[in-house]
Amino acid sequence: MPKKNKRKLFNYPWKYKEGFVISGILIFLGLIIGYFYKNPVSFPSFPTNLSIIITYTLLLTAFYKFENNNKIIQWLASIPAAITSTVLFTILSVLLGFISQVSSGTINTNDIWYRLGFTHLTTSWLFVFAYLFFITSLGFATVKLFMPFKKKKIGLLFSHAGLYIIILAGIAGSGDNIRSYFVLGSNQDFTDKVKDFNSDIYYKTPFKLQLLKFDIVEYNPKVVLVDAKTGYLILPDNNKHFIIDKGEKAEFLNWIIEIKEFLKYSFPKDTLSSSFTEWNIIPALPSAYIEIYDKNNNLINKDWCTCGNFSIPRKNIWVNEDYYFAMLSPEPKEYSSDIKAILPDGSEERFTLKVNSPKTISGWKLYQTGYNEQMGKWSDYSVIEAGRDPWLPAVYTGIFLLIFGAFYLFWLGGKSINGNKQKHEK
Amino acid sequence: MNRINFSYIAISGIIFLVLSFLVFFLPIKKKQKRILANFFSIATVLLFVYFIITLWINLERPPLRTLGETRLWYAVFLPIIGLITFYRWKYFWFLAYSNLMTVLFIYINLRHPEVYNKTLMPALQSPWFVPHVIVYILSYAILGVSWIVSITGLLKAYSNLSGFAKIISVILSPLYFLIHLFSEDDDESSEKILKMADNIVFIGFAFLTLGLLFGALWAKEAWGHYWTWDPKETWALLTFLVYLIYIHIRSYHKEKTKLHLWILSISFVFLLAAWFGVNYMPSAKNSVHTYSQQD
Ligand code: HEM
Repeated sequence: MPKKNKRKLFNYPWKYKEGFVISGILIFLGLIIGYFYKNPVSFPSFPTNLSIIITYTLLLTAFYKFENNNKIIQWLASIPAAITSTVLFTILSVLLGFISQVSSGTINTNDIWYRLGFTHLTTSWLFVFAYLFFITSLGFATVKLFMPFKKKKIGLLFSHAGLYIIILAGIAGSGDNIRSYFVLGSNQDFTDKVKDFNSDIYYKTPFKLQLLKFDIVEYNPKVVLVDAKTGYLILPDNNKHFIIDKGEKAEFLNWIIEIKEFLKYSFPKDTLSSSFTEWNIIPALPSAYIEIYDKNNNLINKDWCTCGNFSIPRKNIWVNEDYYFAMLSPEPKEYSSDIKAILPDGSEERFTLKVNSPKTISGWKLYQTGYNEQMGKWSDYSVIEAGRDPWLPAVYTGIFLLIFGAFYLFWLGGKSINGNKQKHEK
Repeated sequence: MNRINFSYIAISGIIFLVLSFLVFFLPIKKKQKRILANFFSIATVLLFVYFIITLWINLERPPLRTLGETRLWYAVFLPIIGLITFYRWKYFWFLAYSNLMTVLFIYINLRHPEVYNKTLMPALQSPWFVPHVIVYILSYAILGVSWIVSITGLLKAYSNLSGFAKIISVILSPLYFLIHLFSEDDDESSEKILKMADNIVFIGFAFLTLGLLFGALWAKEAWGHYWTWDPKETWALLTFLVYLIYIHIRSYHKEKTKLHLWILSISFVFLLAAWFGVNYMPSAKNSVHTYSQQD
C-alpha cells in the first residue's frame, strides 16, 4: 500500500488516478469541441459506420494480441480502467437523469448550456468521449476474456461481448435509423410522404399507404365527485375508480349515486342536453341518466349528464352548491387503423395496425402511434410511425447474449468473481 | 375486491409474518423453529398469491400499475426470496429480515391504499408488460436485501470506532441486534458478510439486466425504438451501472471490504431514485413511464 501512494501520476502501472485524470481530460475536450462545433453529433451512415466499427474491433483485437506488453493496453483491459470509464459514463447519465433535454429539432445554438452539450447530452461531444473510453475498456475486457478462451468463462464472455455488441450496433445503427411518421387523413388518397421525427425533413417511402378506417375501442367512462371550490376530484369511499355502467351504484361522501341508464354512444335530443338517444355516428358520445340519494334514501337530484366532446358541451350533475358529479372522458382501450398499402412491386395489401402490434413491409416497420386526441373516437386522421432499423438483428444478438450471461450470473452468484485477484496482484 | 377485503388479508398476512418471527423466541429446538418459520412464510405467500389473483380477475388486468399494486407483489416475492436464500445458502436470519420487510410493505399498503384503477392504456397491453415489471420488482427486492446486508456489514466494520460511526450504529442497532439473534454462524467478519452480499447482488443484478433488456424489447414493439433515454430508462441504467461498479471493484480488490460495503450501501440510493424518485424529476416531464400519475 505505501508503495502505491508514492507512485507518480502516469508512472506505470496505471491505476485509478490516471483513469480519473483521463476522464477529466475527456470532459474538458468534450466541452471545448462542443462549444465550437455547435451542432449535435451524429454517427455516419452505411457503409462508413460498418467499416468504422469493424476496423475498431479488429484494432482492439490486434493491439491486445500483438502489443500485450504495452502498459497502456494492459491498463485499458484492466478493472481500474473499466471502473473509471464506467464512473465517467455514470456521471454523464446522472446529468441526463436530472436535466431536461431539448429535442434535436429545436436548436438554439446561442444558449451556452446547449453549446456545451448539457441540454442535448446524448448527441454531445461529452457523450462521444465517454462512449469512446467506455467501449474501449469494454472491448479490451471482452478480448481479454477470449484470449485464452476458457469454457468456465463463457458466461462472462457472453455478458461482456453482448453489451459490447449492443452498444456498438446501437451507435452505428443511429446513423442508418429512420424514425418518421405518416399522418393519414381519413379521406385521403395513397401517400408515400413521411416526416422525420426530429426535424422538418420529409422522405418518400418505397410503398404507399391509405387509411381505410380508424377506430378506438373505449372503456366506459369514470364518474367522480368534484369539489366545486377547489376543483379536487373525489373518488368513491372504497377508493376504487367508479366506472359507469347501467345499474351500478357507488357511495361518495354523504351521497349514493345510481346509474339508471347508460348510453355508450348517444346524441342529445335538444340543445340543453335534457335527454339523450342512442346514436352511432360522429359526434356521438357517452351519456348517463343518474340519480343521487343521500344516506337516508332521499332523492337529491336526477338528470342526464355527459362528458362532452369537441362538438357537444359537457354536462355535470349538481348535488348542492359545493359539489357536483362529473363524467370523465372515456379512456381508450385499444386503437387501430385499417390500412391499404401499395407495395413497390405494385401489389396491394390490407392490414390492421394496433398499438403493440407493428407490421413490417418492405423492410420498414409500421406502428400505430397517434390520432387527433381532440376528436378521440371520431379522429379525422391516424398517425403511423414508419421506421427502418437495419441494425436491429445485431442489437438483438447482443441482447440475447447478455440475457444468457444474466442467467449465468444468477446460477453462480458470488462465485462469478473468482481468482481475479491472484492474477493481478502476484 | 375492495378495501375491507384487503384489510383482512393484510392483517392475516402480518400476523403470519410476525409469528414466523416470534417463533425464534420460543424455547424449542432450532429445527422446529425452522419448520414453523417456513410454514408461516409459505402461508403468507399463498395468501397474497390468492389476493393478487382475485384482484387481477377483478380489475381485468394485471395489478402492476400503481405503486400500491407493485408493493403487493413485493409482499409475495420477499418471503419467497427469503425461503430460496435459506435453502440455497443457509442464511436463516435472512428469512426473518425479508419477512419483517414484508410486514412493512403490507402496513404501508394498509395505510395508503392506492387507487385500484381498472383501465390500462393501450401501450401497456403487451405480453412483455408482466415479465418486465415482475423481473424489476424481483431485482429491486433482492438488491434491497443486499443493502440491508451492507448496512449490517458496515455496523460490524465500525463497531469498535467512536464518534459519528458510533452514533449511526446506535441508530441502526436494532438491525445489528437482529443479525446476532438469528445468526447461525458466529463468524461475522466483514468478508463473510460481503460474500453473502455478493451472492445476493449477483442474483439481483441478473434480474436487473433482464428487466432492462425486456424493457428494450418491449419498447421496440410498442414505441418503435428500444432505447430512447427516457428518464426512467436512464435511471434504471444508472442503477445497473453502479452495481456494475460494485461487481468489478469486488473482483479486483478483495481486501478492501469497507470500501465495498460503502459502495454497496450507496448503490441503493440510485435504486430508490430509479424506483420512485423519477416521477418527481424535472427531466421526467415527457416520460412514457409516468402513467401512474394520470390518476
Ligand atoms: C453486463 C455487464 C457486465 C457484467 C455482468 C460483468 C461482470 C464481470 C465479472 C463478474 C468480472 C470478474 C471476472 C473474474 O473475477 O474472473 C468481470 C471482469 C471484468 N470486466 Fe466486466 N462485467 C460487465 C460489464 C463490463 C464493462 C461495461 C466493462 C468495461 C467498461 C467491463 C470490464 C471488465 C474488465 C476489464 C474485467 C477484468 C477482466 C480480467 O482481468 O480478466 N465489464 N466482469
